[in-house]
Formats: sequence, C-alpha cells, structure tokens
Amino acid sequence: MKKYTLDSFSTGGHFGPYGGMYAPEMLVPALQELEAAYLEARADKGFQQEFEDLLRTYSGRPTPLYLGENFSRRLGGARVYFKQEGLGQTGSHKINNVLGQALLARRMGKKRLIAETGAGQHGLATATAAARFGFECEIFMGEVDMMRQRPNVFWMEQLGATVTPVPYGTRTLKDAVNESFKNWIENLEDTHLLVGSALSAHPYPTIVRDFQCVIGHEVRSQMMQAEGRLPDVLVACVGGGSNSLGMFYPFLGDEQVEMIGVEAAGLGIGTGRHSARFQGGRLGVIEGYKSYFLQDEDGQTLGTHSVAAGLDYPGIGPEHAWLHDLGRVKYTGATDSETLEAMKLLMRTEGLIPALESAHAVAEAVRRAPAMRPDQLMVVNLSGRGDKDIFIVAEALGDRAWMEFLRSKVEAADHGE
Amino acid sequence: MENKIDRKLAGLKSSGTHGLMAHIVVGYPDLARSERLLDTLADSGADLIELQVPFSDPLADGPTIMTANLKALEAGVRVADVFRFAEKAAGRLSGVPLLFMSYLNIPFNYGMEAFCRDSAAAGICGLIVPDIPPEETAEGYRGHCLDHGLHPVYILSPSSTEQRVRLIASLAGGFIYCTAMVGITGARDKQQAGLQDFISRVRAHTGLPLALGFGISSREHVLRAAGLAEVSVIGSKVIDLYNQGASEEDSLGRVSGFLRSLRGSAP
Repeated sequence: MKKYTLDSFSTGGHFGPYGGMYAPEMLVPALQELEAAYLEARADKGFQQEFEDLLRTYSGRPTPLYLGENFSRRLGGARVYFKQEGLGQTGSHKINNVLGQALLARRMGKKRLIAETGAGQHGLATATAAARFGFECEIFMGEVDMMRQRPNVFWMEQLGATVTPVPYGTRTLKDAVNESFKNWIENLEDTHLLVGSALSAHPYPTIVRDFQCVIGHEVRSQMMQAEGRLPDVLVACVGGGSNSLGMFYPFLGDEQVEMIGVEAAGLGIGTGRHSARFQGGRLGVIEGYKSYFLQDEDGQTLGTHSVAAGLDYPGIGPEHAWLHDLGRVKYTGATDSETLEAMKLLMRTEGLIPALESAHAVAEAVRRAPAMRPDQLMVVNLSGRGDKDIFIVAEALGDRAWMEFLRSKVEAADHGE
Repeated sequence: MENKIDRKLAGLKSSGTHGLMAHIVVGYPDLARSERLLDTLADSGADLIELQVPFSDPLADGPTIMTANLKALEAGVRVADVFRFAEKAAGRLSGVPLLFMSYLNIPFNYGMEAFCRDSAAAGICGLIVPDIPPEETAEGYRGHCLDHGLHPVYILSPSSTEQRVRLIASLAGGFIYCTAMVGITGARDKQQAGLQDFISRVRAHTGLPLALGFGISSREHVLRAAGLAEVSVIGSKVIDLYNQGASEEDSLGRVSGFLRSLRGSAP
C-alpha cells in the first residue's frame, strides 16, 4: 500500500519536495523553539486532555454530522452529509487550531498572540482565545478584506484585539501573512504567531493540521454510528487548506475513501481572476514554504480573486501539494457564481447558511452527487457558517431592500452625530 | 579567479578603513533613476553595493524597502532588466564589488544554476538570499555559487544559537552579514543590547570579515559598528533620504551628503 502520511518532524518539515523552513535566520531559532515545545506538548497527556476539554466545553464539540435528506433528494444521487463546523464557537473550524495554539503559547510563556486573517474568521477565533486566556492580541488584515468583512473586524475589536490594516501589495490575506511574520520577527520574546492555516514555514503546517484533525476523527466515528461504514467521498474547500486537511487526514490510509479539495475558481480559470493554485499555479518558495503558487514567470505572486476572502490566497499548504502529486486527493474548482447558487440551494433545502468559503464545497457536491448511487455516502465539510457574509451575499444577489436598509442605517447614524 | 569582494575587504583592512556597504532596490523608483542612485552611492564612498532584485513578498523587509520593491514592480521591472542593469553597472563601477540580494523565489524560478551563472557573467560577486537557511539545500544554491565564483553571503542574527553560528560560519563565503538586531530592515534609533557579545560569538567561529546591518542610520551608529565589524551596511536610510528629496537632484544630494558624513569627510 502506498504511504500517504509521513513524520514531518523527521524530514525538516518537508512533504516530499514541498514544505520546509525557508525562513530568514532571525526567525529560525523561534521556529525551532516552537517545534520543540509542540513535540513536548503533543506527548503530554495533560495538554491533550485540556485541549479536548476546551473543545467540548468552550467550543461545543463534537459538531454534528447531519444528513441532508432534502438536499440529497433534490440532487438525486448520493446521500450527502454535512459536517457542521460552523456550529462551533466563533462560527468556523478556525477555533480548533486557535485553542490548541493558544494553549501552546501559554505553555511557552508568551504574553501576546498575533495572527493574519483573510475572511476574519481566524482573526475572530484568535481574538476570542486571547480574551479567554488573557493574551494581548493584534490581528493583521488586508485593507481590502477589512472593507469586505467589516462585521468580523467589529467583533475582533470588541473582544479587545487591535486590528491593524495592511496597506501593502494586494491588501488581502497574502499581505496580512507577510505583516504578521514581520511583526513576529520584531517581537519574538513575548509573542506567539498564531498561523491560521496549514501553511507557512515548518512546524506550522503540521501543528495546524494536527489540531484540525479532530474534524476527521469525529466524522469517522459519527459516520460509523450513522451508517456503519466509512464514507465514499469527502469534500472540502481549500484556501490554505486547514479544514480540508483536518477532515481528510484521518482517512488518508483508507484508499476506498475518495477526497476532493475545492479551490476558488473565482470568475473562471480562463479569466485569470481566480485562486486555483493547482490549475494556474507553479512551484515556488514564498512566505516560508515550498508549494504551488499563483505567480508570473519571474516568480512574483499574482493578484488572486474569490468572492470568499478566506480562499483568496496565491499559495496552498505544502501537504496538499504532496497529496496532489501522489494523486491521493483530487482538486477541483468552483466559480463565484456556482458557489452562490450552491449556497442558495443549501439554504432553501436544509435551512443551513454556509460561509462563502464552505459553499465552494457545496458547489462540488451539487456537481458530483447526481452521478453517484443512492447508497453512496458523501460528506461535505461546512467549515463555517455564513452570517459574516451577509453584506457580500446581499450585494451579489442584488437585494434592494438590504441596500435600502444600509442606507437608512447610515442616515440614522449621521443624524445621531 | 580572485573574487573582487575579497580584494576590496583586504584593501580596507590594510588601510585600516571601516567599509560601507550600500543598498538599492533595482528599478526603484525606475530603472534610469536607480542607475543614477547607484552611481551616486559609488561616488560617495560606498565600498560594496547590494542590488536588491525586486520581489512581491519581501518577508524580511520593513515598510521602506518593501514599498520600494512594490513600486519597482509596478514600474514594470523584470528579472531580465535586473541582469542587464547589473551588467552595465559592473562595467561602469569596476572598483565597487556588486552583490545581488534576492528572495529565494526569484532564483528558484529562474533556475538556481542559471541564476548563479548569469549573475557571475554580469559581473556580480556575491549573493545574499535571506530565506535560505543552511538546512535547506535550495536546489544546490551554495554549490552553484561556488562553481561560478560567487560568494554565498549568509546572515546571522543575535538570536542565532551557538550551533547555528558554527554551522553558518562553516558555509559562508566572502563575509558574514550580522544583523545588529532581531528585526526587519528599517532605520532606527535604538540598537540591540548585547551586540558586542553576539559579535564575539561569531568571531569565535570564523576568520571571515563581518558586516553589520539592520537599523544603521547615523554616523554614531557607524562609529559604533566600526568597533565591532569590518563593514557597516546602510540599507533603508538611503531610500528614506532619497524619498525626502524635492527633486531627483535634491534626493541624490541628500544621499551623497549622508554617505560622506558617515566617513567624516562631509563639509
């Protein structure tokens, strides 16, 4: 049998040719300190127990695995289950990794958490954990993303975090990642950089994956309980790749389980306005790791596009690049419009409002389920809930009453001043 | 063939002169003006000059140099332009060894061996690639440098452990670039405590000359650096001064005056 997992701590963080620790020298000692601290924590039963307890009592795990009977019937194929990560504290899977890393940071004696955020979900989760554990907190967010995800900015600030706008480059997630790295370099002593996706320099991709694996472990036991067997297909959206890897990883050895990662095809691959690294990207070494990146012939990162801020990023986690090359996980894309259609269908059939990021996975289910048999089982990871996307979705759907509501709010606020 | 960097550093040593390494981002604010800035630096006493290849995601650079990178890219500067720029510059400035400073993704895309070969052919004497730690082979970076007569210049920081100082010192060519602080590039007033101790730790493992950089932005900093290292690196400060000029002439005058003042030869 082919091997789809490896001990990245014995390979210097390499997944085949991908990953690694391509960091400036001044960061390397900090990354090595983090690696050592994590290995110690991972082997510590007390640490693991505290993590599990927090996930249960604070975040509300396990999240449900829900059979979408109406959705399945409408598509007329596979039985489609939804893993409802959006029901966890802060509304997305991001909290899993954040709670794990917050415990790790406390163990390392750090006083301050910093993080990058795109859609704001990771920033929100980090601000929440900082409030819960008494850390200082600064979140870096591209100016463009702050504009489109204002509700999350508001809540992060209410939770006591400083949200620092990043005015450089494309002013989205990539630039926020750069800024958070730089801030870390300047504050290594007391600060933990809480990376939110399964990417960046080693050991982050492995740490984030490990903390997210709770998703896949739960799916496994919930599916055994519901159907008495493993699922046939797992589907998840892939930005940096943490929710997908968290769900896929515990199933990698089960060759009968097919896995589909869905990238953001934006306005369509042909338009060049997308974030599909495996369709338009090439090998590169950027932001500390080797993987597939959307870049020009010189190696400059390209502007990306997706209706979902959380998928709007030119790189993909190195373990995904490896699984892609091994052929273990298949990668497809969903366009902005396919995503919005899928979101509407899920809302109308099941009353579930997925985050725009997660709706990309739903779009893949819409395409794939009808060609499957009714006795086949699919699991779609709803990595987040869609409340945060109300402004974007209302605008995309051209909802006039919503626009009037916004206008009236602004007028009321103006009069109040 | 002898590397020009070695000859330059040996000359500085024998004359008892503290060296200055200046820095430009090639193509900032555009190719023609960065060429004139380069010549001004060479005329004003820079002993070595780093030519930074503009990159979209410069992970170790503060706002000044990062913005210069992005502006150069906006101005349409390509890697091929940077090689042409370097070749012309090396022809004009035969007495000033030139180095490329680049983030890894540029040579990685270009092809590591081809990048080293073409750099050497253009008259470049050394490479500084801050995101290649010694643990990563980076497509044979070091070997290709040596094969083409380029010095692979490595960076050490006060946070580097004893083990890493030893490892990096054993790989370095030409000189070792020591950062005066744990931080990103940028002009500052404050300098890190324990600098003397850091430099002593490095000296214990190498006979190579040392260049001290990051945050060096005044004559006082340079005087202090002269007591610690063979070379001071002036990076962001040059761009900051350049940006303050009301005209190109004014900008170049500010840069020139500043560089001369560092050696005490200013009016």
